[in-house]
Amino acid sequence: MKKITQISLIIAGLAIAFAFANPNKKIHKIVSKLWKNQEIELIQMNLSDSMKIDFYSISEIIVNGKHAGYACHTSAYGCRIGGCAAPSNPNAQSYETFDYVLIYDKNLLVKKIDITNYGGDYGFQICNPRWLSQFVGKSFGFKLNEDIDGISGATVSASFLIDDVNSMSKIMHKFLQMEQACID
Amino acid sequence: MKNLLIVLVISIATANISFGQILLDSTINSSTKKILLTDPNLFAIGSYGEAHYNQEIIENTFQNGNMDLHRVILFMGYKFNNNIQFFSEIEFEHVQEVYVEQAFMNYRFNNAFNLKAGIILIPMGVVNEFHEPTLFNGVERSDIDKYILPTTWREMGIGSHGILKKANLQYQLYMVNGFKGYNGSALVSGKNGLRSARQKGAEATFRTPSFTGKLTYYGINGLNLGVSGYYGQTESTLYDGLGRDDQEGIAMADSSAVGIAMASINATYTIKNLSIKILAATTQLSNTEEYNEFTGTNAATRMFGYYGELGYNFKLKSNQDFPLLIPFVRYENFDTHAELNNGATRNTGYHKEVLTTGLGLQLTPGVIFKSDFQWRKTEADPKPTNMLNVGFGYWF
Repeated sequence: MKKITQISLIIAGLAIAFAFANPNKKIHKIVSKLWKNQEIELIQMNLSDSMKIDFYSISEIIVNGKHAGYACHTSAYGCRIGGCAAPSNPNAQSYETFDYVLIYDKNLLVKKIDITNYGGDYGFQICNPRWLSQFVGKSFGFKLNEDIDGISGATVSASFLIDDVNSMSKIMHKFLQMEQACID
Repeated sequence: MKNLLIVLVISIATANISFGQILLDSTINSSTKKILLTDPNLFAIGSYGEAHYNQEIIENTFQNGNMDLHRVILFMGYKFNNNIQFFSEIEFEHVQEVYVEQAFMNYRFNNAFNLKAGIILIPMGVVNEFHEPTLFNGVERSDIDKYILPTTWREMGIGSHGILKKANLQYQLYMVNGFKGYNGSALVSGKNGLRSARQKGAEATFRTPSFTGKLTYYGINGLNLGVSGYYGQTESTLYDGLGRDDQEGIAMADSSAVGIAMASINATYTIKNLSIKILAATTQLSNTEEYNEFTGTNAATRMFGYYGELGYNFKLKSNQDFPLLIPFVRYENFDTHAELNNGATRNTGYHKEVLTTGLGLQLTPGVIFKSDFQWRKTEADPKPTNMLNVGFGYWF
């Protein structure tokens, strides 16, 4: 019994440590894996208030001194509280949320998606990196079951993620056009 | 035939009502979504349920059918903040029996570690956790999910669950209240297995904890693979108030409990529109010789069951995910008297085979009409009994 208590305390301690992990470090780690053994710099961009609703952060990725893409930290809806196979009334405020990191290359095509923090008991199957790899090379205008395979047990999370990546890509395109216009 | 007509009329009437409610859109536009995200206090309310008509068919015999509003469940959840959540399900079974099927607090530390406490579902097999009627084929749950894995199996407990992302695993590990094996008479039997021994969190007798856990692997596209276990001892009313030096009393109480070790494996594989489901479960019981002798029951030392199911999703309208027509076939084989103590008589009537074939018409993700036909036979009597089932289920 004493052992069980000790093990539980260790697990709980680790869990708390992870819970307060710095998201920027996590993003840096994901980017470093994509551009291995190269000099990487992340420059956090200033976001307007309306952009802050959509993104936790957007960073420009600089690899060996050259612009290489963008790293976005954002969130989307997961399953409903209590289940993941049935849809709900869109007005019902009953959804779990999850956080994810979206890496774009310099042409704004998805290079990597990583679910950093998944809330809820159901629909966790979308964390599967093999399933997520289907997003690579896409930007917007893609659909569930046509461009991206469905996923059993996580239909709701999957469609929300696809919906979210589509709209994030559109917002990014607009955002960069505006940035460009300001510079010009 | 008259019964059938009545069912048809009711089905058509309810179909119209359901059509009125199905105009739900599963996607929220991005702006609403993000506004909602800024408010962490989320309230969820919903319901699911199923109505059944079961008709046994025996040649040259009148046989009354059974029309049952099997269950209606109201569920409520509330997210106090991003970490603390409460979830409950209140069930009305056969219209008049009321149960709390789930009621737990969940504290979330992160992906990998959540704490849960309350009335929780024992994560054995699939249907016990995913028991909403839109999630399984057939009007009734499989017999194995009744006699071997006593669905809906829930007890008071505490434990943790989470996702181990790098390994593509979800884990659940709980310490729970055990079965009640004895309350003046035996609750574990050869006929019903452990089904009548569930305590369901209602003033449950608790002396020794039981443990249960499940690992779900989701690393291969289309595959969900689960392995579950349960280990514990049944509770008995005889221990209550017993003196610690009352050897005779303790010996008697010990004879009124059995040890349980249970394991199950399940796999669901979906390729395009085809889905394959497999489940196997085995239960090992110990101390049954003393238990049977003391209580006069006939519990087995081993029970087992397995099933395989094939289903196909036909889209009835091209370019639309629903409605779906889902034909399926399922074969089950289970035995609540697989092995017994030496000298005990095995009841071959408890070894059953069930073949079920039927159709589901899922109009939207939340509404399904079902019908199927079942052939059941036992080792004792190879002539099958026939059962026709018709029903509908909903979830919103």
